[in-house]
Amino acid sequence: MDLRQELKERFGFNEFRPGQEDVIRSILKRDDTIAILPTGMGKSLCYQLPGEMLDGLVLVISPLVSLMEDQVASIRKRGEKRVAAVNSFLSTEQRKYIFDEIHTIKFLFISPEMISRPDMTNFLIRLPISILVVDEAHCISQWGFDFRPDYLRLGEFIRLAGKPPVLALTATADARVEADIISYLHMSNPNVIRQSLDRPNLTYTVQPLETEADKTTWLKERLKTTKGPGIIYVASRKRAEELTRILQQEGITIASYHAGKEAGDRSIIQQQFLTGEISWICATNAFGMGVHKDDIRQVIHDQMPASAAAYVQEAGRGGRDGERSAAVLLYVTDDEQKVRFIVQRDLPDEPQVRHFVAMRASGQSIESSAELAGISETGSRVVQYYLETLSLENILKTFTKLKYDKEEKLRQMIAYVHSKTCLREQLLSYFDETSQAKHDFCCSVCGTAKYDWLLSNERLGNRRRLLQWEERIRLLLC
Amino acid sequence: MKLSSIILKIAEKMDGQRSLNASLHVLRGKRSGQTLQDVDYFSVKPYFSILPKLGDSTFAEAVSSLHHAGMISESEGIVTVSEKGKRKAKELPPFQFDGWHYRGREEIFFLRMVLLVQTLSQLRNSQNSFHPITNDRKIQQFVKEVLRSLQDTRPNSARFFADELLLALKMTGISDLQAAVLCHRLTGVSASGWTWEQLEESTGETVASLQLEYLEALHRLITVSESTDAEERLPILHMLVKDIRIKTPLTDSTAITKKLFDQGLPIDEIAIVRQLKVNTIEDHITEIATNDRNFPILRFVGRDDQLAVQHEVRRNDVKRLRFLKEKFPHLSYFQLRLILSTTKGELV
Ligand SMILES: [Zn+2]
Repeated sequence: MDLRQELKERFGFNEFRPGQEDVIRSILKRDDTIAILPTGMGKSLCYQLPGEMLDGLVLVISPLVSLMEDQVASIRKRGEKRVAAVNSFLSTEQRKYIFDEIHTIKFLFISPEMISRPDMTNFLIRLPISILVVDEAHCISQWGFDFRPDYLRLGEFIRLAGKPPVLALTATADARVEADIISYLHMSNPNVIRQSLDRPNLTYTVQPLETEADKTTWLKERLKTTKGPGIIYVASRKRAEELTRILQQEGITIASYHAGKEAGDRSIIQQQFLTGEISWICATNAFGMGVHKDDIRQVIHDQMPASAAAYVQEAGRGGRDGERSAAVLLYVTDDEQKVRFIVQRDLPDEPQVRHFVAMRASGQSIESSAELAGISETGSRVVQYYLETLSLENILKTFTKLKYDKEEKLRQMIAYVHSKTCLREQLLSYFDETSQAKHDFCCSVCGTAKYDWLLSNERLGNRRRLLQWEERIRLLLC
Repeated sequence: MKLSSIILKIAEKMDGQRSLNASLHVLRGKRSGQTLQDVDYFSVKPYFSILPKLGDSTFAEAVSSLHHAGMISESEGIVTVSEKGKRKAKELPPFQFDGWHYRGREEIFFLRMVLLVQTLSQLRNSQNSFHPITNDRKIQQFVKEVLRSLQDTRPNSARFFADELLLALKMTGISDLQAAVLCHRLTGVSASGWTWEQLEESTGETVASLQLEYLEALHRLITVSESTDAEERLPILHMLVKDIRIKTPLTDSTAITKKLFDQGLPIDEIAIVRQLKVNTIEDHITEIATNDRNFPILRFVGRDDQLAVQHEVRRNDVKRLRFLKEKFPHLSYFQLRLILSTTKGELV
């Protein structure tokens, strides 16, 4: 079959990106498929193209409403209008509309918590599903850095739907995560297509510093002398706000971005970043999924993320246009303790679990049991899920394992910042990969992480000037 | 615009009868029987639900500033407004929110407008493919419909809408600052909207204050765009406000006042019969006037004064009460409001 012809006709591209063609061929054979492709390598084409070629509905399970809406928007943008999204933000009336019109829909996006609702399950399993796509499939594994308990219920849905071909998509999955994906999604003998995580155009730097204050000073100096567009990832909303204010005072055009921001402001900030009106975003990890900016030149981490997988994903948002991009990680000794605290926070300990179970047994609701036991919301959902399938003793064992695993993940990051060998090799080794070629601009350990190409003495952003309102209207429309 | 000023206004209406918490419930738009009864009884409907996310601490802070200024006090769950507070409340310009009728739905209108402006701006620059500022399908579909109807009738829609917006904002009587804030939240080609922090930095007003200014401006803009003459003068905005207003009949308390008023009782007598304050009854009368095209306004204002005010409004395209009060010092705010609410359809 000439897939390139299909690609050209339907999408207007001449070439597949690495890995895409193998995934599509596997899906067209109706095989279960796991595609591990780095961020920004066109994962969605892997189901869009075969979806267009096959009869039936493509059902895409997606973890975040924003991500979902974004994908819907991009499919529409290429002219495919037979697309809809179902999530808990829809009104009953809107949902009913989609159900009535389901026969006119080709791509249906749905959140995992919606799909496991009985009415929804009953409705969907009757439909002819050509491909069941599980996006961000690593969320199904408690070994993954972004575990979402709702994903665990997908297996049941797949069974009820009569095992349609399943395509699991993710940017990162080590062997254990891969095993979890296969087992929880009831995949039979899947084809695993894995594209290297090595991004030759990224240069890795670890920047050790003495104190927190040094980080701020370093960032000030760096942003004043080098060019964007860039992202600074920070660990908390508070730090995002503070750092943004400090850097603004230096004349840098930067805005903070986190889940606590007003919705209108969030889309304005994305827009300003896309158009280049601001050069920098200072964000928590809420920023990233669904941001289409190809020319990001720097991704700087103010603090290490909880795992190498998260780091690879976030740093990988740089340089999607194929041009060089710098990935810098700032580090002070205290960071280890701080990150450890954040990482373990959502994981209840033994007394908490026992307390929660006792409260549930005495007839308390999930919410109040969690509150009484001092367990976070995420934590309580995890416990609740396991309570349905495991004994208390086994749950406690699982949690001990999870704690241990999170610690191990964190150790990878700690080893990374202290590494005496090539950082790129170090990162890749966590995913059982090695670098395929020698890179001219590799990393700070190799001594090739020069950043003179980033230097810029461009005038820093002018102060924004508020226009007269009449003037503003004319600027926008006349 | 200060939160504390708004609280003072509400407290003044509830003086001696309710706790301060009652005003918090009004601002947050609590749907309890008590609050719904309160907004009606004390005529604080305009403030209903204007700050659904108002935090306890923000409220407490504003209240304590009123305490410290010696304007209000609270004991045993009853708020008392001091003479100083009453004076201050009188001096404050009348706020022109309409929370009762919009209840947060003004954001739907604004999103429609933002997306329309963005689309027109992009089309004008011959860019047909762009990232819409909102992914809300309902909003997108709505705006698409509006654009479709414009394609048939208006060749230069962007320009046309610009003129319409200029006119409408003038008609609202909002301040230049309010209009500027509103316009800087709009997005176009290489002119993205501004975040609240960016607006704060360049205006020197706090985010909280700017958001109140914005809200009042938005309510005014919707009200102006809803009027019957807007269909002619502001056709696009008139489309954008479709189904934003919550349709409510006269509230119970106003209905009782209307019965007495229809029997011919003067305001102060109605106030005595109902054991309500005169200005509460005046609010009821204004509400009745807004809803009744055949309202006997001559019972309150002479024909000459009506014509003079209408003339002034038409000449300057201004409906700001404070401005009109300066021009017509012999008329009360109540009389001016009555004139404005009964002349909506005639201001062509
Ligand atoms: Zn290296």
